[in-house]
Amino acid sequence: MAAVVLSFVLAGGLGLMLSSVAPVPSFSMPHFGNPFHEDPFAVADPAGGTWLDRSEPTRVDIDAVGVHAPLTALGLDYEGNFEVPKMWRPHEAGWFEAGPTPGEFGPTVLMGHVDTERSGPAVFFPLRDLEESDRIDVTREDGVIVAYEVTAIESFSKQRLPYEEVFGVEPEPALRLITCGGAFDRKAGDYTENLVVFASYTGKRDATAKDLDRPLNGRDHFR
Amino acid sequence: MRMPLPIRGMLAALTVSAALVLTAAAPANAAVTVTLSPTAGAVGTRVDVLASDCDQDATGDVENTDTSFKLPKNNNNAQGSFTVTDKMKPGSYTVTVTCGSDTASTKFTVTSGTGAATGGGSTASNAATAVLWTGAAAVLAAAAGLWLLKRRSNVTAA
Repeated sequence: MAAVVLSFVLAGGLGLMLSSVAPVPSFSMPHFGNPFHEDPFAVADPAGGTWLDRSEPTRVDIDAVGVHAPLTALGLDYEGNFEVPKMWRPHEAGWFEAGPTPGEFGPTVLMGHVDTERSGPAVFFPLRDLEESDRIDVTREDGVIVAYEVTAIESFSKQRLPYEEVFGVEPEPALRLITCGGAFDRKAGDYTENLVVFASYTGKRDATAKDLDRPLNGRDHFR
Repeated sequence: MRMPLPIRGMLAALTVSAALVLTAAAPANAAVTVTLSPTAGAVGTRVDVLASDCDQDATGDVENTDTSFKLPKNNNNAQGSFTVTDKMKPGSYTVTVTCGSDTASTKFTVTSGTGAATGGGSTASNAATAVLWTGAAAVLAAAAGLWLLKRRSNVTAA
């Protein structure tokens, strides 16, 4: 018993000695502006970069998980919910037309099905296998390919999709991919969560002949 | 009033140099641009609006609504915000900022606020069906066991 107490005392003394010798990291208080709202433009300068003008995206390529998909323009349905690609076109992904195009300042949002009603996995099923720093290429109508790097993959309840994060600005053009996740609610006929892939801008280049010849995954890919 | 020629020349030179200074001060691509954050949201969303290269106080309007707001000058830009009211039905709205004699606009989308219905459930139903079958198998096994036990107890009792 005495030995145990002694060892505790000694260990405590050792700890004190160590902490007095070793440099303790200094914690600086984070800066709080308005506690309820941060200024999204504090770090972002929309006019300060050599960002691109508007040009619609035509395809998305993610070599790491074998996604090669054509893009269709998406808006809202009559209830104000996000329009999604047609169920009978499982190979197709879409882009949120009201938002910025790739390479323009702001967040470009792509959406695609994880699966269909009958035929199994769909275009964005492989997103679950993405990892940080995986590369995403989006080709624009004007022949420019904008490259992004995955920075985070997160799941959110569909009732609490964080619009500020998904549709908010970052210091550079940004890309978000949205598909479904979580459990399937049979009654509602919908998944309970959205899987969101956050990606940041890494550069742009002109598409080469080789780029343009890359095959797209067609409908037959998802049978 | 007629001025002597040399003075007129000097004045002209001054004007030209003043014009040069002015053009140098304002970059050639100094068109006002409007950026929103976020670019979409539901009722209650606070939308920040930045008018880049607008070197004065500006005003903003949301098309087809009575929402207008001020963008006070902030360094080389003007910045303000508006909140999506419940009068704004889902859809696309043009946000226009007036900065002096310039105007610029961009679009904001009011949504229902939920996520995207990006799945039909066919891959999930496989898993759910598997769970169902496992459960059914467990129930069957239990029933069979009970029946066997009951039969054995009947035998020993006889």
